[in-house]
Amino acid sequence: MPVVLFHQTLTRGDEMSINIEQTRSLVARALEDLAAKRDDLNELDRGLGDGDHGTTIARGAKAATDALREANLGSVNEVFTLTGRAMMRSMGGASGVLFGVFFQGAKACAASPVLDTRTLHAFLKSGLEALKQKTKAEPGDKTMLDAVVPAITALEQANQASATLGTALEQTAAAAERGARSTAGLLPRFGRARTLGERAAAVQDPGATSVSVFLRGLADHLPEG
Amino acid sequence: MRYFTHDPESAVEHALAGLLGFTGVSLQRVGTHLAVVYPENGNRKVKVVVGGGSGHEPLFLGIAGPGLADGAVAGQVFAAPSPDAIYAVIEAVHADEGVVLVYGNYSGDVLNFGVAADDAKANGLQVAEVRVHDDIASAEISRLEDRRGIAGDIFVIKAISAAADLGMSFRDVVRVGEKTNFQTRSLGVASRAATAIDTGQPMFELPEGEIEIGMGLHGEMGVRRSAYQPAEVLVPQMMEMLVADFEQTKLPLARAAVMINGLGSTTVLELLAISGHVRKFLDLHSVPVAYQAAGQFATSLDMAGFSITISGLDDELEPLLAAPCQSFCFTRP
Repeated sequence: MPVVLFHQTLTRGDEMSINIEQTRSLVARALEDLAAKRDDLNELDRGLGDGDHGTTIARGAKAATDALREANLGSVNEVFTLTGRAMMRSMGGASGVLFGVFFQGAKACAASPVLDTRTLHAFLKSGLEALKQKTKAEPGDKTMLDAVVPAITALEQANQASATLGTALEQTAAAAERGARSTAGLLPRFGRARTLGERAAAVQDPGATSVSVFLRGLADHLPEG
Repeated sequence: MRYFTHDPESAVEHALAGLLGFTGVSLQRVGTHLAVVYPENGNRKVKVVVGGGSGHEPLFLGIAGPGLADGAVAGQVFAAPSPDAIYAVIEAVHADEGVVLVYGNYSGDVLNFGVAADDAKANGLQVAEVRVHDDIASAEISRLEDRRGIAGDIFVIKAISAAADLGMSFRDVVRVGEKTNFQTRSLGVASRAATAIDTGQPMFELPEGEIEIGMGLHGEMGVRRSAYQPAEVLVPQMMEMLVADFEQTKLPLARAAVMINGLGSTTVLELLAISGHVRKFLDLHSVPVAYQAAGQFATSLDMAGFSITISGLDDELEPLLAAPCQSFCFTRP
């Protein structure tokens, strides 16, 4: 059952940034969307794992929204680092560490009172660097990187084009979704799925899908002005 | 197939409650984690913490006890425990000199135990990791360290714990662990997939009438699928593969410890028969057996199948594996 946690009025239009409270609300809503996809993600994971990715990520998303609700936040970075820490604590499995370090990439970035295209790009890029410390996976290996890397590229382009935050998030979500879809047909090269080889090729990667669901949530919940 | 437990998360929680009520060994829960400690292994300067996903019962929580692990931590079904849970156990065992983490070599476990080990080291604790890699079907011998861990966990945990009981230094305990790890090889076979607790559906496809040699504890791909074969045909083939693997690393099997492990729904009747075929093979090849066990030690929910584990013994390992120990999972009088 979806619960509306935060009642911030967000305005899209020519907004270039949102403040800490708006970011808290936005991330929490995207996490709720992620938790709501539990059964779909489990179904994907049945094709190449043990069918628990949705349950695991929903547990992490719930822990993260709980942590966000109670936290005193001094920067938008903390919205992401708290999310990552809560996921790492609560999820277990490879995905707990991987999503955990990815979201905690914001810790290494300069503290910011607002979220704009540039800060989000810095967070995701730093998250990607943290992921590379933990896995040797490359794009095309059927992992969450297949959504993360195109999302970062899209954000970079939106930033260079001085796009509004709304446009940037939309383009980022679309790129992540394309990336996640592209994993269908790829051979898994990492994790337990690797050993399934051809048996797991047809399925879309659940980790990449989760990344795209979260980024889609960010785009969707920045309401039209 | 329908389990008497219907929800994986509550099943794991209730199983822990059951283990805490087990009258053989007095375990303490660590906070609200899926984790236990056995605090009475008094002589140890070095403590042994083990862990991994649930669904492999009696591993992992069930192997804490006298002569075995000081702490054990479990994740959800087939998922590694979180770094927080692992760290809580590292702290709870109160080691004077250091903690050795022993776990099967899976990416989820490597990641989570790795983060916990880094946190512990950052807080001034001495921690080492032994990643058990006994499954010869999971990678070529040239990539030994990429192999996954299956029932060999138990011999490695046993030897390392006995080394700690002798009061060995941190370095020596780790050395014994790595040596046992290197000298322990396993091979499994499955004839039916495990059933998921929540859906009641098979977790992977294995057509009726087929078997897969080398299938992993979570249904990972093995070395080959073939038509069903009875144990008397299958076991000698599996033993040839195990012996050949030892020979490839120039490790002659002078003496062996042997474990026949059921994966969940293979009967004790079958396991004993398999055990007999294994012994016959080793006798024919003049390999003395110092110790042989058959039972369910590292399962995969209700998978039908078994694994054969062989540890090549030397003068150091043999008494370590022979030392008495007690736990829900594994006991030596």
